Amino acid sequence: MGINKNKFSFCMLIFLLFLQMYSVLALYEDEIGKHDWTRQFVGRVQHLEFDLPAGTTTRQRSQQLQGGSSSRRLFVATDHNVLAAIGLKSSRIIWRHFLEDAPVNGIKLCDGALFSMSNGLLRSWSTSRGILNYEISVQEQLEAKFAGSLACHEDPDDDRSLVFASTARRLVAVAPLTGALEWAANLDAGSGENHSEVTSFPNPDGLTVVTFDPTAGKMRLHRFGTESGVAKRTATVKAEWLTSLQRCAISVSTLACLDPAGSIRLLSLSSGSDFKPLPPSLAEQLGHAGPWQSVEEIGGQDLFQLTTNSGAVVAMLDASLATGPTGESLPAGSLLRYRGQVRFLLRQQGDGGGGVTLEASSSSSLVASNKISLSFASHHGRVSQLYPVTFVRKGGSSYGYRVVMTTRDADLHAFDDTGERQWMREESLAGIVSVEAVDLPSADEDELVTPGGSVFSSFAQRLSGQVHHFIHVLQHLMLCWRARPASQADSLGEFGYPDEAPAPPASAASSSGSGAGSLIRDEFNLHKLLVVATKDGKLAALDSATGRSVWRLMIPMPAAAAVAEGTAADSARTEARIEPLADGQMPLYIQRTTAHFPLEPMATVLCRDSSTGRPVLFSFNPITGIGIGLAQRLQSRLLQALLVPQPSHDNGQYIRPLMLLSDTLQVTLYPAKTALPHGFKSLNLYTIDRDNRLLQGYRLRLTEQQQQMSAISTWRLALHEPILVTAARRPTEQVHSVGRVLGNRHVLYKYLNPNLLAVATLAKDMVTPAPQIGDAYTQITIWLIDTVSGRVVASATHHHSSGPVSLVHSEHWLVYSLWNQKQRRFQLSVWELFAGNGLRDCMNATQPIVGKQSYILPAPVQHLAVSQTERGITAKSVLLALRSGGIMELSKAFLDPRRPFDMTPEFQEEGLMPYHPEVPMSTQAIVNYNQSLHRVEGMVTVPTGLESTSLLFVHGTDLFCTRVQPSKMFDVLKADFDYAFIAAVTIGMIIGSFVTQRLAARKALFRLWS
Amino acid sequence: SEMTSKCISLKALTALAAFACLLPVSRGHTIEGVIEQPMDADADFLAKTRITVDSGNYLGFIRANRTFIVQHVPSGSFVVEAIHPNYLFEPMRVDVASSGKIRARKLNFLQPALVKKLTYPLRFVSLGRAAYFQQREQLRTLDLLMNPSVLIMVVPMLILLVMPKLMNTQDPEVRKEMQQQMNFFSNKQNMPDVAETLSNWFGGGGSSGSRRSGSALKDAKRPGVKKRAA
Repeated sequence: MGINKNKFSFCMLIFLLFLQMYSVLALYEDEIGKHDWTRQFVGRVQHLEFDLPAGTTTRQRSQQLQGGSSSRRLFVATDHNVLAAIGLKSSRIIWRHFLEDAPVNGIKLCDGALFSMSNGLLRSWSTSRGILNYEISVQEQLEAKFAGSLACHEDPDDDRSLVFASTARRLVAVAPLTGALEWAANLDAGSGENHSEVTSFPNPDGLTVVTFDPTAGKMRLHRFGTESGVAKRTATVKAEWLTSLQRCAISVSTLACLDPAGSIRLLSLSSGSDFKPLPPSLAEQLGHAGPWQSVEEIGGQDLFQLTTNSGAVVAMLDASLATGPTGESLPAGSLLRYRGQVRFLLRQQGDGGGGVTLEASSSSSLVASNKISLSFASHHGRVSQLYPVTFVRKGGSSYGYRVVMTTRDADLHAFDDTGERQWMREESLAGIVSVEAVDLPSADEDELVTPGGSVFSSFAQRLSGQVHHFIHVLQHLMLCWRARPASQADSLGEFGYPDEAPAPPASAASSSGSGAGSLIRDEFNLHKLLVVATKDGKLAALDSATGRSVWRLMIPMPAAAAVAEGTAADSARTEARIEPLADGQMPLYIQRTTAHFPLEPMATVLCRDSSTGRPVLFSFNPITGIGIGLAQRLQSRLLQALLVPQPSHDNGQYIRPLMLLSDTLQVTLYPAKTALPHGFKSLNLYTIDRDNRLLQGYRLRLTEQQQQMSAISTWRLALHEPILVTAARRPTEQVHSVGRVLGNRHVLYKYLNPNLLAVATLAKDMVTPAPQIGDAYTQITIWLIDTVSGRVVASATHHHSSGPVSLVHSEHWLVYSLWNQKQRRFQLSVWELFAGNGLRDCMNATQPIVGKQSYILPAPVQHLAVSQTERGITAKSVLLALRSGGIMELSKAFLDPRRPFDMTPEFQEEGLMPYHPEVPMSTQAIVNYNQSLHRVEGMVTVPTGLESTSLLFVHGTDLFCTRVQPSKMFDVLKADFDYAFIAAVTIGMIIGSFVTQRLAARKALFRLWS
Repeated sequence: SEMTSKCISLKALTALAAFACLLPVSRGHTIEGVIEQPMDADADFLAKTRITVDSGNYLGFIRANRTFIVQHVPSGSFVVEAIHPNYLFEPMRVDVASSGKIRARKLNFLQPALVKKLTYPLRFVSLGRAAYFQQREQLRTLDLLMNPSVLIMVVPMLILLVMPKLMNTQDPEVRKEMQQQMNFFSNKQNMPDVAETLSNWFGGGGSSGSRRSGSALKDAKRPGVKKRAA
């Protein structure tokens, strides 16, 4: 009877679990920001305008400038196609708009409104709140990719301003305030469908527009006045040597371009009909004959900044002057800016290896300080853009200035005129390409002793480990003590960016005191460090609890001596930098975790060197951000890199070696001296060749001498169709149950092949007849491939479907989303794989039974992810990053190919829901509530120490991190658990039972007496 | 000869038509509309709302007079959505003909061909604030009383209390029956012993000998109980 009761309670437990699974998953309102954080970014700044235009200071403007500095803001357009206003004092985003997926051609402040030009559309925005004033289509004809330029003509004499916006075909002149079209002119950009480019610059009379047709190599000049759209001058200039207008800079009267050899050619916009080379006398004067890296217009007075590999020179290049332009001879490593009446000379010292110092001086007597030193930490790299601005101080007696700059890592800095940094925005974090979660070091003694070895050695190891640990704790306490005043000082708002003070050159990594103090593993291992790599070659660690950056580190360039093939000229022309691999990835490998306490944890990033294209490996400590050794440039291209599954115990290093397969099928280990784990025999890996639409499998194994590794190609699979996306199961994924119990007490065994790779390819649909209007249909094929044998386990084709496809593969199932062209809706499909005949058939590879079902997805989706828990017991949730900005958590139970059309008691017992064609959408399932996340690039889920909980980190333009609990929090009492009530009830019951027992005994006694 | 010339002209026409089709002279169309600002919306409502056409490929921003336009839209059928982080709006389907004629209809994913016309220029009216959060449960007496488990407990109790009052207790027959029932309840044999249950739960794998000895003990006790009851 007792056993039955046990069974019953167990059944109840399962029933309760099921109940929880289907109950609503939502936050409480008071939980906002408790377990989640958001950081909003704009991306790398490409265009910047100050609210106080300094270049053309009219009387009216300078009065405006004297207004309170609190309202000052800067407007930026970035590589994420974001238009935003940022407070010049607060560094906060005042407003932000995500524009179309097309580069922003330019932004300009004109007559008190902000103008943006992108995708052939001229938009005017109110500066204070970012509300659209009006929107004008410059050209009616649609193009796949619009070129564009924007210019503002302000005449200080008459009060008539004009905004000029042009595409490669048409130019419009608009009155800034009303948006009324003053005039329009057609530009003959060249032959039809080519992507012509356009650039323009205002001159005292009106505007100069230059269009360039790259295929014909022809450039056309148009000079317009302000009154009408009749060109005052047009000229055609041949420039076959020019590849793109991006290698040119336009100013009032000169167009300066770089030819492929890196020398400068000039064209006079007023009279010239052909490019002229730079006169030798001037080249001499500039102190550098070339090759030049880039040419940029600065200051609007025919002043150009010419950059070389080692520095920059500013020259006034006026092609119309017969005597030749006047250059300024400046020492190497200097940058010069002219803005208004203040001239800046900014000198950059060092090249980012040590600390970087900038000096600003000015010739104007009005400026208070003549020389300032701007300093920032070395991990930002070199300065990439400087935007100085001058303004009249209150009272109008003196000028002040601010310098806003972007560094190579895409961060945005603002300095005041004493050289003190006001703020820094970590815009580099908007470009995250890979994420790896690292457990924080714990104080668990069990992990100090390593398995294997004699009693004495392990005893000694334990003792030494404890001593180490004690010292570590002492050091930690000391650090905390020392960091206390500092942490109080840097409480600058929600994300105060306590970016370190000028770091001494010795410390490559910089950890803010307050960050290091709290880096201890918590009880349930919910607090982790998110190590991220950005596309600009920067590494950073984010605290998963707060989102603060704990450390930041620029991946160093490998020593130049290692360059074997790159010729000197090549390396001189293009500045080498660290960039992601060819497929846009920059994988991070955790080679040694924090579990081996006295030994430092170790992570390695794989990236490449842009000048030679050779892969670069760099190792670092993921907790402290201190580099381990130097960056290594590999001599051969890599096909694949893979971490060996187990660490090698041999020499007590516990490093999981990284296995590198080069294109010549040479296998090397990284670090080179690491031994392979004991008992290692072979390893299978595969490569995805997107260019050749080819998948290839390799087997790596030890040769007879047990010293060398060799690789053999085991299979090739040509898909013949472009590969859209691929997805594989996470190697660390835990599967708890191998089967699924059906209502009739039969068991369906899951097909748990850990080597499956899901691939989505796109091809022309030959089956469905083409629609009456528009292009022919395409089809998407999903392949499931066994990466050990190269066998196609399953495949299916969706006719009249197209991308964007996102795929997620976990356990024995696959979920993907695609666009149904015929029905014009998104759909979500699920496959579940079960072993054939209900038998587990390990040796004989049989085809699994594949169950498939599709659902309508009522909202467009950008990314899919799946929750991960430590043991895999908790039900899974699929996380959908919706285009509207929400991250929706959808229980996997809704995506189940066994959902029946007709419900039977058996299905009901199994807990299946009847099939419904639409995926249920609920606002309560949006885990990021109203913190909309646009342009999501990736979602990472990390298991925690709590079985119920998995961490979700979303990156893109914004960062978001929260906890996801697919089956609710069943292993920890809820935060609002009423302890007092439960205690009171229990105590009351106990007292009650005693009292009633006493009463009952008395009653029985009375009855006996009676 | 007339026939051949006609043929040629026809061929030329078709060729021309094909040529015209090949030329990328696709003109963009403009979708217009207005959005109703909810009463409780804050000042940033207009700046935070955006109109997306074809899942964000074409965008519209709201002007100060609450109208919007989405330009450069090619001909086709698109879903138009108004997106605000705090308010919900019903998406619509907009069909743009190549002639530039535009009609709006209710979005129906299940029956895409069904046409239920909506007004054009579009008009977005908020469906209300998005409910992202769950309400915290509060302890209310009525809820506690209406709880099914409480009901299951309370109702039989009430019956137990009320029923004897309703019955005629003077009737000796009924009285006898009740006595029997009372005896049934007070008889410990039918009541599960707490200690026994606990030992069964926790020592489930214990030897059967001890269990037997336990029952033997109980058997030994039982006559005594009976005696006392008598």
